[in-house]
Amino acid sequence: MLPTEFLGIKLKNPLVLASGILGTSPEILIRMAESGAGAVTMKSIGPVEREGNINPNIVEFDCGLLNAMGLPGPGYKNMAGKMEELKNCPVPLFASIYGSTVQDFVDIVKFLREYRPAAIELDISCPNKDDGLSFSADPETTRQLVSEVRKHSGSIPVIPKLTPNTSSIPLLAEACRKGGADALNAINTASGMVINIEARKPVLKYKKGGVSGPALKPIAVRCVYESYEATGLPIIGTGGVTTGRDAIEMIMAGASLVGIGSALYYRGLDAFRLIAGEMEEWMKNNNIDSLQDITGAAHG
Amino acid sequence: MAKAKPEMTRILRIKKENPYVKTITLDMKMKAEPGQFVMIWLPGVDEKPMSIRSSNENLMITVEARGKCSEAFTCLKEGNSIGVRGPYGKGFSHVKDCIMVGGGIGMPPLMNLSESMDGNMRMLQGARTKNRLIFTDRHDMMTATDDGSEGHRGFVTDLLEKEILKKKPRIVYTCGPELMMVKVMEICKRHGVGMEASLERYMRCGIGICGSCVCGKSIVCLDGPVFTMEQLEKNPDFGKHALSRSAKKLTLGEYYGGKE
Ligand SMILES: Cc1cc2nc3c(=O)[nH]c(=O)nc-3n(C[C@H](O)[C@H](O)[C@H](O)COP(=O)(O)OP(=O)(O)OC[C@H]3O[C@@H](n4cnc5c(N)ncnc54)[C@H](O)[C@@H]3O)c2cc1C
Ligand SMILES: Cc1cc2nc3c(=O)[nH]c(=O)nc-3n(C[C@H](O)[C@H](O)[C@H](O)COP(=O)(O)O)c2cc1C
Ligand code: FES
Repeated sequence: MLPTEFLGIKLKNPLVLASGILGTSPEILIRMAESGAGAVTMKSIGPVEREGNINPNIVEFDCGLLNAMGLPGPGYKNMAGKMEELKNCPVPLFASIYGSTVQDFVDIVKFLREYRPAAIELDISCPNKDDGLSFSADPETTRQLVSEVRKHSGSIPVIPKLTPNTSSIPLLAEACRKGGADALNAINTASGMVINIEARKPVLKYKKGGVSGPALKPIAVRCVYESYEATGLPIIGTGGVTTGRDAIEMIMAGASLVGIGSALYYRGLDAFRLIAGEMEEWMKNNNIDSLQDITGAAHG
Repeated sequence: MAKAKPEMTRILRIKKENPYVKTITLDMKMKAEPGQFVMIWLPGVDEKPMSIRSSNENLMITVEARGKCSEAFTCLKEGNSIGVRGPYGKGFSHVKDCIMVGGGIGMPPLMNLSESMDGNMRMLQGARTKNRLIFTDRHDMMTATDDGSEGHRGFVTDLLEKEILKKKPRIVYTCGPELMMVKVMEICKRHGVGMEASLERYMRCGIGICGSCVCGKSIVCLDGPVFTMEQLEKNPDFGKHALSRSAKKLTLGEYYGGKE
């Protein structure tokens, strides 16, 4: 029921480990693959080594998580060993990259090419680094970046990851399509803040952070819906999915694959198997044989 | 599941254990197992994982001034408030007739475990020198110091070997410098004794989603920090590697800046 195809890549189910959720090491990415993920996304890789923000980096609130990791990572030049180990990943591997300049993105894409990830996500949507959103600031900048990256990625598909922190998702999505994006990921976290009133301070050391988990879901569903209408591109719908019903909702909004992040906290490390099971059960009860039959079903 | 949200909590009492270490008693009750940890937030400074020293009555932690944040923890005064979230992770099993081997600031979770058992245990503590030892008001504590200023001169693992030869325990619990724990594991294996060890890795979320604390296939904040000998034997990074703050795989020597 759940096997699916995305950009010519075969997946046993549409659930993808979202970038930055445990994806720091090959061992853990492989463990997530073995725990039922249809595909796994690596933590975003940057141009240089970065330590990320000082703790607290995460705080929970009533219906979600707020994080500001600040993109810690060893930088692509220190990634050769990890990429080599990831050749043993039993499911399709998506890389994710970020940079401050177009050249940063191009350099990392050139480095990644020889390891042949199934796709490369462009993280132009991180709210937790000072210039994390600069490539989403206006559609023309976004288009130029995507177009430059696409020139260098060869046969590897490029998937820009959209931010909800924008005035117009349709314009941003359309800019990505014009730049040559093969698919879209919608969405990254929404910028937010949590203040502890006893301490009279924002909890996160970075003060603001990105909202994920259940609170993000309606925003993500809307962004997927609008991106689908605007571009018709395949979409990885990410944001607040913690149950099979949530995943079906994302698919009806127009997602071909569904990103799973904070659900690993809410449902535990078995989240993939649980959510896949719930999807199958819903499909059985509603006489749906294949996901293709309901992709974008909420439109029209 | 524990909410990942710090609750500001008043400090009721502070006890000086030695010139570098203080035990802080908080105005909070928590249901937790020995070996589990909490995340302690000092607003405006940082947030760090700390083992639960006791949760029998009020929550207690024991902090050693090591760097900027832990130093700030030890400068707090009674009446000040700090943020607490947790408990997190998986604690120790509870097998009587055991030996506990602690090194330095690895003692607090072992003290917690020992207080949850009634007798039938042996406690060993190693430190660089006499004024680095803690909890010495416990009269059954056997000690070893590198310089011989108190107890056995040499490694605490020498004491462990002697104690096992005297009478084989059913299990050994250990927490402390990782190379000490590697040695403890070697000794336990040689004598056919089971063992559990509490690991330390750089932590951010403490709830198993950020991937900062990964060691081999294990997520230390979630699967651990306490692991069994069987798990550690299969973990290629135990005693060898740790991820830096930038998730670069370092040797333990590099990770601890040559201090391990
Ligand atoms: C599960 C666990 C339980 C712990 N229990 C105790 C305890 O009971 N008492 C105690 O004094 N200390 C404990 N620690 C260590 C403590 O969290 C800090 O690492 C230590 O206090 C040094 O922090 P610092 O900022 O003062 O020093 P820094 O100068 O910032 O760091 C010194 C070294 O401490 C380690 N470290 C720093 N930050 C972290 C972090 N966020 N997570 C993990 N390691 C870090 C690194 O090895 C670093 O090189 C525990 C750590 C873990 C992982
Ligand atoms: C701790 C944490 C770290 C993240 N790191 C990244 C990252 O490095 N790159 C990225 O593109 N998205 C990152 N994200 C965003 C997620 O990939 C995802 O888009 C977002 O969390 C929404 O999905 P969720 O509600 O299922 O978690 C991170 C999210 C969290 C919670
Ligand atoms: S500290 Fe985040 S996964 Fe362990």
